[in-house]
Amino acid sequence: MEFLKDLFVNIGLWFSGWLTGFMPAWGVEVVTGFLGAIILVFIGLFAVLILTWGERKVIGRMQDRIGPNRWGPYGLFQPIADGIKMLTKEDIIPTGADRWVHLVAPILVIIPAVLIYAVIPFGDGLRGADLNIGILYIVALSTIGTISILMAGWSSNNKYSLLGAFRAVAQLITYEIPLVLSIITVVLLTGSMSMVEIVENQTVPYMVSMPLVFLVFMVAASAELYRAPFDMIEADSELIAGYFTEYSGMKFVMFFMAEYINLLAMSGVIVTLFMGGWRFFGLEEILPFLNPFIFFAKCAFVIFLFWWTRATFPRIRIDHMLGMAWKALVPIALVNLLLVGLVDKLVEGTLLTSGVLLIVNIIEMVILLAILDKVGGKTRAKTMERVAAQQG
Amino acid sequence: MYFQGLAKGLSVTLKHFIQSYTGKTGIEDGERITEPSLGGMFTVEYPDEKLPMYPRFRGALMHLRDPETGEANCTACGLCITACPQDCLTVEGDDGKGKDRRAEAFTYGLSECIFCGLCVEACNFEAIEMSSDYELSSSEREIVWDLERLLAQGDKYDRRQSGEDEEK
Repeated sequence: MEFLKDLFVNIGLWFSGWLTGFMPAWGVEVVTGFLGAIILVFIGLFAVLILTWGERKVIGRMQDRIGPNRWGPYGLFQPIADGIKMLTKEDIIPTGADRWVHLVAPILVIIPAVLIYAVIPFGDGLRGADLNIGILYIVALSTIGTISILMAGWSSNNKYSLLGAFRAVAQLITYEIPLVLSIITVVLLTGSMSMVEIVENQTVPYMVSMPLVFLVFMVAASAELYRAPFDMIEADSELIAGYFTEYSGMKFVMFFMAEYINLLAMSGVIVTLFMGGWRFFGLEEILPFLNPFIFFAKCAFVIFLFWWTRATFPRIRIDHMLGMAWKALVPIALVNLLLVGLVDKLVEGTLLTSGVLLIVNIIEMVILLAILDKVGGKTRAKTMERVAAQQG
Repeated sequence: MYFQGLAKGLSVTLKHFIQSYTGKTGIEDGERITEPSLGGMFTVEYPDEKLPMYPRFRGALMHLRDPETGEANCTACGLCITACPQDCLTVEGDDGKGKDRRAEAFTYGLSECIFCGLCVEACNFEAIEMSSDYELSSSEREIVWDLERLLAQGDKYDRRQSGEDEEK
């Protein structure tokens, strides 16, 4: 029973113990590290299969359709069929393309996506590495992906690809700021950048105590992931397919996979930062082997939120999107940072801090809505006046 | 107030998501229910499910039999051939006179037919009808049905024989 209680950690301990029997210490380190990396990569790859199927199914249901249902129970094997189809496609390199950059871009896009999994804690003791700058590492990695998107857009010799890539860079630079500002808010409260310590310090999930910060982070994250309603870089109606217009076959699949690996990684970050990671009302202490399941259930919830918004909202115009980040999200995040810092300094005790934070957040939201109503009303009145003048 | 519209939109999609599991629309007792107010999925899974065709639907042509003798009603009068704007019908009769004359051969060029139904209107002997069959694809370039095939079609799709269409 003791072995089963913390099953996954104990399997790892038993395995490294078994290796120590006939291997030097460095050999054990190499083998376990290598196996761990493979497992982490496969979590990402498996996520791609499940998430593509799930997205089509959930969005289909939201539009009163069935979604894939032909192959396998509930159409579960659909991603495999898609993969086989993609493998048999012709690999095209357009004339005038920068051949090597074109070839390397899809490989480079997937590497930072997979690397994020190294620091995400799936459970107590279940993680690739406990970096003390874990969240900084994630912020740094998530920007590298954009370079490969720019490479793909630039090397394709296609104006639509290039436009999509430019948009990607503009969007990333813009939305990185509110994203990082809301991460700083969390780091300020926790006093640590280590993902494990952030989870351990969250008695009350930050999603409950700081709903506004969570909201800002969610919006910035969905922009960071280039997901609808912020899918400017692959806006089908404007840019055909954006930066991967000229990619076909397996190279296209690499971009596609990176998108979904990033989706799970980002939802893992959200779960870690705002929803208490593997913790669930003390259940993690009683049955530690449930930790990864709790973690992935929370991830599924966050991913459902992303799907839900994708099925609901139409794409935002690009100037509105950039304007929203600079004029709304950045000021909100800055004010939040200030207030959270003040509350953290002035109020003692975890529960009390959470309560005060919640009240502060709600007051902030009410003020924000009042300001938006006033400013938005003014802008609308001005526009209506102009329209009336033009018509009259 | 701001954000009200966003919340409204989200609630609509969530409602449809839940209704796709709890909704009434679908197949019940072999009949498809399509009542938008009930909610649910409206997809017809075509090869497995088929929508019932209306009695006036004009699919491929079929020949009807006399219910007593079991012979084809057609008397090879040629009215349908004159009516056909596409010239896709031919008929050959036997040596009988008047109403005793019977069709020996009949060809129906399905690939030329435009499903206008003028031949059916022209027929005086209730010999031909449009069936409700719409799955007519073929690997042949020219599709020509002979009398035997048309009678088989009639046996399959004649509503009077199966008693589905009483008032006719």
